[in-house]
Amino acid sequence: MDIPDTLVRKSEEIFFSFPPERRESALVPLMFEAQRELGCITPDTEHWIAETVGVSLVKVREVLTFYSMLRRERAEKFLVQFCRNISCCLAGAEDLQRHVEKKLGIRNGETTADGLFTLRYVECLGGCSWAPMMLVNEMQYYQLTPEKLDRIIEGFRSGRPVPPDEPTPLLGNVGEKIAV
Amino acid sequence: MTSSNGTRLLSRNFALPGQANLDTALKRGAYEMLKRALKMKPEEVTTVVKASGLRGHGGAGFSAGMKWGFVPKDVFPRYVCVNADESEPGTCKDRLILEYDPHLLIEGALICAWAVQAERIYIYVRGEYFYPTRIVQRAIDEARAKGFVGENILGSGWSCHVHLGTGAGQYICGEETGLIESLEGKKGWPRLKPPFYPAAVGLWGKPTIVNNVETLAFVPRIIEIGAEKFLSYGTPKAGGPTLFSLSGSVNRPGVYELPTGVPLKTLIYDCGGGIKDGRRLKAVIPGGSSSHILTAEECENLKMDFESVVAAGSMLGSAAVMVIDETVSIPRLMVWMTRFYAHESCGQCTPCREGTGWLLRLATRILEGRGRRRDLDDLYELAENIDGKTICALGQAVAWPTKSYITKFRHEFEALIQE
Amino acid sequence: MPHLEINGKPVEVPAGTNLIEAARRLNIEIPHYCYHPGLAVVGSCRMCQVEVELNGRKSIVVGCNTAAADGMKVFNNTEAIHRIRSGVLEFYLQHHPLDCPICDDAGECDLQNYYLLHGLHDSRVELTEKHHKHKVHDVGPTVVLDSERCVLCSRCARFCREIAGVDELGIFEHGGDSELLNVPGRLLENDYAGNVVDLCPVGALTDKDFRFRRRVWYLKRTPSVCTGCSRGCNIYVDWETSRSYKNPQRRIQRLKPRYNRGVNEWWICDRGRYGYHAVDAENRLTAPRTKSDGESEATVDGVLDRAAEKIKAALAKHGPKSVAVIASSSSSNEDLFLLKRLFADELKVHSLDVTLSGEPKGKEDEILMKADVSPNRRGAVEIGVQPWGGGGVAGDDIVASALDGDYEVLIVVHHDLTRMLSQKERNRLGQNCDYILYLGTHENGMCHLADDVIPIAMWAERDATYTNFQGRVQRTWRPFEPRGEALCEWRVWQELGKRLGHSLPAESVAGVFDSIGTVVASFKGLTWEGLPANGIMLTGVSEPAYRKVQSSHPLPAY
Repeated sequence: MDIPDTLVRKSEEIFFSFPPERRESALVPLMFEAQRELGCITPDTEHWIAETVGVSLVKVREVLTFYSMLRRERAEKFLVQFCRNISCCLAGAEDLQRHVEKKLGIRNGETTADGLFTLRYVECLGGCSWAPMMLVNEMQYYQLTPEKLDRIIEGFRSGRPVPPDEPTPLLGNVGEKIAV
Repeated sequence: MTSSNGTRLLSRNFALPGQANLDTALKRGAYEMLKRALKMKPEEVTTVVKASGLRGHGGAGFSAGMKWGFVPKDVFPRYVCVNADESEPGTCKDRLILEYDPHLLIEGALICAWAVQAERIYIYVRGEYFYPTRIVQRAIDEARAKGFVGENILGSGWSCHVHLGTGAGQYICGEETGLIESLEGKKGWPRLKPPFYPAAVGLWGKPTIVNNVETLAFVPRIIEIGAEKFLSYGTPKAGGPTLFSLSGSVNRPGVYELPTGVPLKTLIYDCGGGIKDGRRLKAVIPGGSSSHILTAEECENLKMDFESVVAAGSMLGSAAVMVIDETVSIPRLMVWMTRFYAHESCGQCTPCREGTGWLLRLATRILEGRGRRRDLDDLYELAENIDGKTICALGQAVAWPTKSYITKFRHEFEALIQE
Repeated sequence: MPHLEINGKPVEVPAGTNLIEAARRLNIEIPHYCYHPGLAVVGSCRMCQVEVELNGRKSIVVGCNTAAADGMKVFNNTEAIHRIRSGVLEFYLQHHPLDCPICDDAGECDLQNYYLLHGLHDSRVELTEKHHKHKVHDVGPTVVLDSERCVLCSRCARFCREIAGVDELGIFEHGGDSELLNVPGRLLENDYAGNVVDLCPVGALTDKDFRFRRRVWYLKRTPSVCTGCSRGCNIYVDWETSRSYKNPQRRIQRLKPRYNRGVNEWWICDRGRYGYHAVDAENRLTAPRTKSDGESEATVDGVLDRAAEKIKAALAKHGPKSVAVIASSSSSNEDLFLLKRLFADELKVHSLDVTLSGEPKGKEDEILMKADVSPNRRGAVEIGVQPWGGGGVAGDDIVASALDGDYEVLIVVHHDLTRMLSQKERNRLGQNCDYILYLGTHENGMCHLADDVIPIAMWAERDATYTNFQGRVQRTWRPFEPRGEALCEWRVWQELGKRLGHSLPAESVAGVFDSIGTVVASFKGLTWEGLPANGIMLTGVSEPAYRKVQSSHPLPAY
């Protein structure tokens, strides 16, 4: 299969970060990068990875199916990963789920008819103090409200995405001046 | 620097502009402590860290200095793994360190690597942390370009390389041996113990120190202010402050850096501004979702240090405090919690693989009003059958909260069971 | 050597022995699924938890990953342990299909066995709640997988990696979705694939060759030795003849490996495993044959009488040079010893050998398989069934001379010369040899070429010994009688000897074996009664250094 040069270069960088006799260690980061480049990891890509890394197909498939972020099917243009863990639920994520389902017209695991959005409920994304939170592809969005959600989704629909909350806003005392 | 409002030792530069950039960070003293440490003997560094009372902030609370001391003599190469797989529900403090002061972490990891004479550092960041990963990668590149990382660091003759490791969405990779397996290119199945410590047999079978981001980020500060001073910011058994991740039903959720041992009420009411919408406090999960739930009464005089929380029947864990108000249904909380563990069980050993899904099924049935009278006892018994029977701590991580929810809020479950 | 107590019984074990093995020495079974002494320890099944008391501290540990220590007290039968195992078993049975009535493993299934010991609880699971996974899934040409029965012990996957050195099975997905499978396009087809069925503690992996043939409790088990190659792997013959409605021709139902540390450890190759079909193959020779006129039906006695006459005549007319014997290294030590006594020692026949360059060869690897597919070449060499004296003629030369008409009488055991000769040569051999006697087990070209044919018993039909390539003498036990009129080869030589006026030693196989040592130095001191079940090295030959049976490029365990 045709592997993009960018991915080949990236794979060399990844291999370089491990001792030369530990090529196998590149497996997870390489799959991650391959997915980023190609959208998902197809059987062809599995073969390429097995060959490049020097491991068996069984091993590649084991690792691929183990990690929940690695995909064998292409996600649609915008993968909405919506947290439904305790802190987010305490902050109203369940109501918001109903809102996002209505807004997109799809349920967990489904893709919108226009092929733009895939919705997936996921476990803790580590944004508990800024709950509820979600990721859209690689962008993080916090303190979601129905209004903010609408704006974000419209932003992606119109090609003018709402800037993500990067860096994570400082909440709590870590951003405050030190009171002596 | 200590007050009821906070001890900003680790996070003191977070709010200052440009702290994630090396040039700016250098003006504020970044890597000065590395220089100081490189002038010390490696074992002196370990001694200082041991004396500082620094304990692991990832969950287990193990003495960092002792861990470093477990590295066997004469076995090389050695490695340091930074555990940035922050995934324990409720925990969100490491991401701030990664995003706001990555050089502090790199500096701490380098000092640790110097102390144990490691030749490589891997910073294993969870896959969902796209933005923090970019920041850390840039910081590593900057530090390498300036000679803080790589060959012959600062002319010391000592070389140490820093690389990024990548998670791909599996809670279990935060377990230190699961993390190592993942770094080796495998499924993140935690390793069977013994051997007990990666410090002896770790990455690629070699001595490896696995420490949490926050733990290592404290290290430059310990070198800076000395062990004694650091110890004074915590309790005699746990030196220094702790980053508390506060979430749930409070007015001001956020990450708070406070002395270890601070009263829970200070955190919830003084820092967090009290319970949302003037509601009453029902319960607190004090140390991430894996910890036993504490009732409002149990929280009354609770101090947030390892020993006090254990004495109260729970654990400090990753200091992720989830506040639960009177309107929250504990059976619903049970579903959120068990759903997480059912999803995150790695599948390696039987009780957890088969049991977590079963717990979720029973919890869901009860919540949906389809529960049978015996379901509650079954739920408890199944949790008991998982607890302590597994290879890693995930078993007890689901068993403890399950049992405590039932024991302490049994009436809420019974009210949902029709029969 | 740590001294410890298990259930109050003292035992001393070598340092490093784990608790499962230590208990085994006391005939105490610590239940387990994932642990196997030949594979890396993974500790995932959680069945082998035991209570341990050491230096006054009590704890619960897994027996597989805990080394016996001096002064340790191990408890395998406490109420706490029973509760733990009961709990673990319930987790296993949660999604299990409970299809024992149609499962081949019923009767030798460790889910059944342990349930009887530690379970006996009612199910708390609704049928509708059970997960469904792959059923009747072909993981390879010889093995079928039922994923719903699988306990995910990973023994099979580890076997492929650690012993066979190939990655053919894996555990995919995670948590409750975990499933053992092959990957599409990559089958379980290594030369040792059948071992995964033996390793499977439940009915998840079943052998297509054995599936649905017999309930295991009808099987009888006889220890034996594989005769598929010169390694001589130790095996069990699982056989059953009384329930003939299934397939009256099939007496052996399956072969299973029998542990022998110095030969095959716990494993056998598939070539050996399925080689037993030859025993009851349709083309087995079950009656003597003759081309001689005037005999309506050949009898063994008739053939033997004629052979003796032919030999006598040839010897009288042209001397020992007119007789040649191509014996076989597939024959037992006893067969070859009597053959050697008769032809070399008594009749002074020099044209005597077991080896032909055209003999079939098998695949060889560094695990178990040897290219030499005969089980007793070393025995033939030790006993001296080879060209001897000044005028000795080697196998290939015997064939060449026979084609040239140098022999009046040619005796061939097992070898199918017709496969090594052209049609023209076959005709010439028939014409140029006055008399050809063939001793064989199956229908082949020799049966038509030879003047007389005597059917010979196969390995599973007789007590016999074979000397493997290492010099280890190993015996078989006879599960059942030879088919038809087939008889043991050594009997043929004994009978022939009588007719030629030479009394060969002993009337029993034991007697023949015991007399080998009186003549052959390397058999000196070996007695039939004294043969251990796992064989004995030839006198003067030392036990080879221990080598773990595995690929030279094993893949790491999980």
